[in-house]
Amino acid sequence: MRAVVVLREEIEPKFEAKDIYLLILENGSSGMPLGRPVSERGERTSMARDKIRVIKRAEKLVENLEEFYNVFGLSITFGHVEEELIHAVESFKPHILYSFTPILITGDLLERDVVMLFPKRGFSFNRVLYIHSSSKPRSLEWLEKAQNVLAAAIIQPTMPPEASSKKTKETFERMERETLELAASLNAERVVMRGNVVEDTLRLAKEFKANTIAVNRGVGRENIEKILERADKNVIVV
Amino acid sequence: MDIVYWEELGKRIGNRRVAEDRISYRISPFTQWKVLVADESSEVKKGEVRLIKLREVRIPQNTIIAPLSIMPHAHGLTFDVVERGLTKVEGEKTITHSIFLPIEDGFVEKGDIVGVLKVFFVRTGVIGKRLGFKSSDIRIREEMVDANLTWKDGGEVRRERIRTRFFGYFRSHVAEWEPIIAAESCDVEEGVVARIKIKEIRLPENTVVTPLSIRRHPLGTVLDVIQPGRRRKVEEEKRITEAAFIPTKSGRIKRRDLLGVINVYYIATERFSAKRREKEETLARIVSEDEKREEIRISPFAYRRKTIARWEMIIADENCRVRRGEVKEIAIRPIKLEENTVVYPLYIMRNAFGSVVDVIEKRRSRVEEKKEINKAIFLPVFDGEIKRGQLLGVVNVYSVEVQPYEVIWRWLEEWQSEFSKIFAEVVG
Repeated sequence: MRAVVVLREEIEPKFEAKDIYLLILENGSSGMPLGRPVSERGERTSMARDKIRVIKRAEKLVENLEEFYNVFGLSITFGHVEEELIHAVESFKPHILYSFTPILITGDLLERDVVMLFPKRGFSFNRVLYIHSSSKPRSLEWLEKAQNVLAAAIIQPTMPPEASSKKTKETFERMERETLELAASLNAERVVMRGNVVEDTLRLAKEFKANTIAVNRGVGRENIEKILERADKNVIVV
Repeated sequence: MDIVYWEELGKRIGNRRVAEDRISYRISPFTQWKVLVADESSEVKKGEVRLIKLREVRIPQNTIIAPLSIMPHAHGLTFDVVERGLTKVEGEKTITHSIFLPIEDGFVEKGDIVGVLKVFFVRTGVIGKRLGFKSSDIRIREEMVDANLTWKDGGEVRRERIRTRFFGYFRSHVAEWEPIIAAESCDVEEGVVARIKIKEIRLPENTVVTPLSIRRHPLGTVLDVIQPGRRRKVEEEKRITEAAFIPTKSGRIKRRDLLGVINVYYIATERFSAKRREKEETLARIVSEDEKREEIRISPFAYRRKTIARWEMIIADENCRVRRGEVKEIAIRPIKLEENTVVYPLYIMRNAFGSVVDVIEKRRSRVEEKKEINKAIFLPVFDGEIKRGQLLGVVNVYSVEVQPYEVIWRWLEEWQSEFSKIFAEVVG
């Protein structure tokens, strides 16, 4: 399995993957002249200080992970994180992206054919809450690892059902149908259909004692970010 | 000027008319490498230029590239590369093909290293070039590449599977010149690449080399230099014993002819230490356009390159037909260069039919003098028609400070001391 791994600090090599591409997030050192006029010597020394530090750090991170995985490449980024993420996903074509540090979820990233996992509490898939939406999940493989699943299609009506358009009603009906089918195939313990995407996801995760919240990317960038920010469980975007 | 490029390589040509512009830029002291690995196997024949499909290489935004000299493959060299579409220096580039010049018959196997690119980070624009680089301007991307290193050993081709990992290197901008002097007399034929034995050049540790552009011999130009045996690392000492010479005219090269010059730049990948070495005057023969030979003494010089440079467009000043693999001198709109400048071609094929491999000046001059370039040496990759006003290529123009050779040790010692302090501070 190929994985892009986003990290800022050293990480435990306990994630599932064979070949990995690292995206190491860095802060620019204070020694760098931030876009100010500078002498050649000043630029040379601050560049050397900055790059030696990050290269040495990257070498150490690679060495530690190389014992467990095939490290195929890396990007060290001081900014432009979204662009580097897209570069990594496009060039390495991973099955999964593990992010061990918060990243900005962009619409562009959600459109890519990659599952994203944000580990917060190890890698347990014992109890998974799955939130379905209007998109087809990129992969069911991760949900199938779960021993216990609670499937929920949390439809958040913006208007009373009778005032919804025909198209919206059809979408809701399709989501409900898909959720029931998925729940059956995953042997889900319980199925929930309506509620507030963020609040009820967090509430259900707590009630269900889920280790991992699996979110369909169709719930949207803003909802995913809110869930990521507030959940204390692993989040996987499928 | 007109830019003629491939919308789809070998199939559909695009044409764009753009205003001629002189653009300057700032170059970063940190450089990365990208390894070019063949993605197909092909039989190659001496002198027959060939496009070789590569494992695609993506080059970050705000970069220019150049090949790492010293022949990279047992059978030849990549003298330029092809990108997908037409991008600007400021954009991300995808390199898809090597333009490979075999210097002998043989096979390039899928997985062979056919070249190495140096990736220079630059800032363009009036304001951009005046300001220092920000951390985020340098995007370090590294792919650990499994590929075959090839070399000749007693007439046999050796292949060794290696895994490459280069984070990059720091440039001192300090360099010296080494003259390339023929160590044998031989006949050369127009357009047929020749492997010529040269007076041995010993390159110190922590150096990279690149040929000094502007043709030095009336019969042709040096495309690359060759070391015997397995390729040595830049951190190691190297011996250069041959040159890959592309003749634009048939004739006889004589022993002691000056064929060209290489720039030897000092770099650091880790801790840097400069080993002082003595250099003496070298005797060589300069050959004039009418093939008169003049004995000269070449004094050793050191120079420092400035970090602000500019691009000059090489624009055809005549109409002519070109045929794949047949090197041609093409008249260009004059490019006037001030004193103390050196030029290098900007890599990535800039004309749909081929690449500029060198330029010719109107009157022989020294680096310290004013120059006028009026011809380009063009190596076609496709048959086609060059028209007056078409862009053939671009040259990077750098200002340099030339000093007597002894000064190099002061410059390098300063640099070494800077580096040691930084290493001690950062690494301990």
